[in-house]
Amino acid sequence: MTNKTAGKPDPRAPARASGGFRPEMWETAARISNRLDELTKIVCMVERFGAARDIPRAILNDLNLALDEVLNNIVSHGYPGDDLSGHHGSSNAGITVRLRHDPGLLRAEIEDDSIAFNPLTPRPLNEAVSPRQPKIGGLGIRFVLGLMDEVAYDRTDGRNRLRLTKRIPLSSYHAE
Amino acid sequence: MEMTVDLYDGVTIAGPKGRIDTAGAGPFADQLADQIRAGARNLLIDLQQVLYISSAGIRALLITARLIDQHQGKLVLSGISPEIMRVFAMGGMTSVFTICPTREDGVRIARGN
Repeated sequence: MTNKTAGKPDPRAPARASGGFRPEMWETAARISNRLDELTKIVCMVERFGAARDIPRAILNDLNLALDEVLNNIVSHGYPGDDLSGHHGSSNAGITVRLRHDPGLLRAEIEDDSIAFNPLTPRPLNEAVSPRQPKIGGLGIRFVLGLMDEVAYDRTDGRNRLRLTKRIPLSSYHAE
Repeated sequence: MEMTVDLYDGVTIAGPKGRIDTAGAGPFADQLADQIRAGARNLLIDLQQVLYISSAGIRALLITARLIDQHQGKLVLSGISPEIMRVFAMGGMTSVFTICPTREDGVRIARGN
């Protein structure tokens, strides 16, 4: 008896087998407070998720870079009157980062309750956060727009929401 | 920020490892500033062990460049992956720094021969 379709590989699946691939864990999320020292928690989440979902290293690096820019921006500019360690009036102040992986597509959503703040609008060039930093505004968002395939912002119910999309081409999975 | 520091042929070679992002950029800049204040004037930063560098890391490099310039020193970068070079290009940084393809080229240029 000829075995015609059983065992035929899904062309969208990674080229190499991985014992770590977990089909059920296609979404994850974490909530951090508006402090710069919390950003490493998001890096850890991305790395864990990336390993579980077998997402290529180059894609994870691009996502981590984009998230670093976005989160740094939110913490540094989104809560005027705070110092950068995030002493904030509202006890519920927080930033939620969600990740979702579908075949060929990685999506991140960053939601926060800071002031209405669209990171896609150009920052004034002379905006400096601290005396140590050279006055180059807007560099970070340029990276986000260059590294991600889609970037979208909206504001609803007092919350900013930024959505990043990165396509995962099959060629980024290395045959081993 | 994990970083190796070697002295070779009069050149201080710094080898940061990992992510030069918001968390890593401060320690990165501080360690380099320590080297410059301790007398390093020919500085090569070899980035081959770096996963990626964000705008925070670019700022740290600019701060380092400015500091060594104030000490009449020279800063060279090497070991830049295509992915990191892409980020440099996006930021218009490819002509701001002296960039060499290999560590050996970097040592030679940093030495100033």
